[in-house]
Amino acid sequence: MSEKVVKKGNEAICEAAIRAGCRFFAGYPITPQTTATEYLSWRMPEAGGVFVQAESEVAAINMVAGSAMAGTRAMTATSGPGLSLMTEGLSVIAGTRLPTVIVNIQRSGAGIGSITGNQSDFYMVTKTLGHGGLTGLVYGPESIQESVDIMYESWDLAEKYRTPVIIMTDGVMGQMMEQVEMPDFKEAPDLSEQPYVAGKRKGGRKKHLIMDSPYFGPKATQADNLEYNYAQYEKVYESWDENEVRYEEYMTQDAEYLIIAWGTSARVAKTAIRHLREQGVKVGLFRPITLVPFPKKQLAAIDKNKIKGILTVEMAVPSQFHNEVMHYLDKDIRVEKYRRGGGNMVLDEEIEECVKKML
Amino acid sequence: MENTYLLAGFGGQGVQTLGQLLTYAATDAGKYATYLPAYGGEMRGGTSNCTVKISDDPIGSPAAKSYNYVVVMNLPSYNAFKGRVRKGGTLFVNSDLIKDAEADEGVKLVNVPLMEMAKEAGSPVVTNVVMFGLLCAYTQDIDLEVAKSTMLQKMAHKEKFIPINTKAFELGVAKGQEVK
Repeated sequence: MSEKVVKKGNEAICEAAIRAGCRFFAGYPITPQTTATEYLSWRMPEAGGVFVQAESEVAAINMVAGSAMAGTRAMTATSGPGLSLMTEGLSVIAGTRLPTVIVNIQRSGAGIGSITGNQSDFYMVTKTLGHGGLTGLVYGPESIQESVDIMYESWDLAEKYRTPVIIMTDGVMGQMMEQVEMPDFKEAPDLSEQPYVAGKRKGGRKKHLIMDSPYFGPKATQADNLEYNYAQYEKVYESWDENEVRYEEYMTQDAEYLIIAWGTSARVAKTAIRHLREQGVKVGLFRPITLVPFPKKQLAAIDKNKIKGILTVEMAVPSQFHNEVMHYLDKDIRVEKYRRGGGNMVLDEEIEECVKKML
Repeated sequence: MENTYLLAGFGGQGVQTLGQLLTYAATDAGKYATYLPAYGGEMRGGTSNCTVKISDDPIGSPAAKSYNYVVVMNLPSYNAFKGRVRKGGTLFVNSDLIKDAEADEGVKLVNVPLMEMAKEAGSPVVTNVVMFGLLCAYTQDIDLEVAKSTMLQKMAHKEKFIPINTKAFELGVAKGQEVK
């Protein structure tokens, strides 16, 4: 039964994973992810699944890969430093195209950095997963409800495209509480016949291969097979540009000014937009929901004759999302940026001031 | 209508529970609400605080630069947040620990002998429930019947505290109505 509850972001997204049929979690506690691990430590066994507190993030991501190869809906959750440790395993997951879900509850800064929320893993996650230049679907929800909804369908997408799915929340969304409608429980499909799943097929016939691998293919050499298979992956990624781009336009109908932001920054911008609208400023929001695929065409289509100025908002210093957006926008549009780093939140009052300076 | 609350004190005074209670109760009363804890250094000793927003409409930012209502339960919190109350807003001060408090111009100051009131209710640990009742009565963001029922439901695991929490809530409500 779907139900409305008030929940912490980390707990809500984990509950959505359980309801989506996830039955394996391996992870290592790290602020601000810890409440997710804590929640699943009792909730996953209660739901009949397996919870492992791994000895490190390096181990955790490989356990997730192993579980996916056994045909289970498997996930992990971590934050920036942990994600760094996971990159080798992520690369393997992207290379073998294992349907898995990784939640990155971002904290700020490089190295140990700071433990408060931030959006500074944007480049790290959207450019490539580990080494090798492969990628996955990446989502940047703005609310607990949206993170729950995305989590709920994430394995369906992961299995459809045979890809990892990365959900990027942050310390703010992970720790905050608000009302959320939880979806009904659904059963995971039988994945035993999938080519990436090892073990016995139905009827007891053994598979010859432990798993599918990009080393195998129609070509004569390993190099040619890798090249061939990666070119197939590329076609999948390109198909996402057509079929999987998601974004929200908020109060853009008559907008003369535009804020472009994702995740927590975008929801903060909405408060600023409401205040600015009360003062007669025609401002709206363009919000990418998918970070991979990025809404390139939609950004390129922003009309310089209609929009007098754009403000990008993000919680990252140096800028990352801003630079990515700039790549696609019409060069004749005036663009300013507002960002906060070090774990500081962007504030609606400051967004308001930045927009007013552009008028 | 959107109201922003900042609740601050030292660890153990229950400001996080107070913030969560407001969020649960406002939601039960049919409003939109968000709760955002400050965590990190604060949670590991020293001061603790959280931001709560209660609104008739969906809430964008869960944080704010200034607040309609600021509750400070200890001196470090008073020093940190007394200047963050919006004009027309209210600063609630735990007068048992903070003497001779002052508020900025245009901000109403409400001194509350929180620990004394909690003791009167039956336990020094229910200062946050006193404050919960007080805020509900004072701000009128949350229907009092709903607030009371949410509080009792969320505190139900502490059975022996039910009469004490009820008393604390009622004392808070009376004080909130008195100072309004």
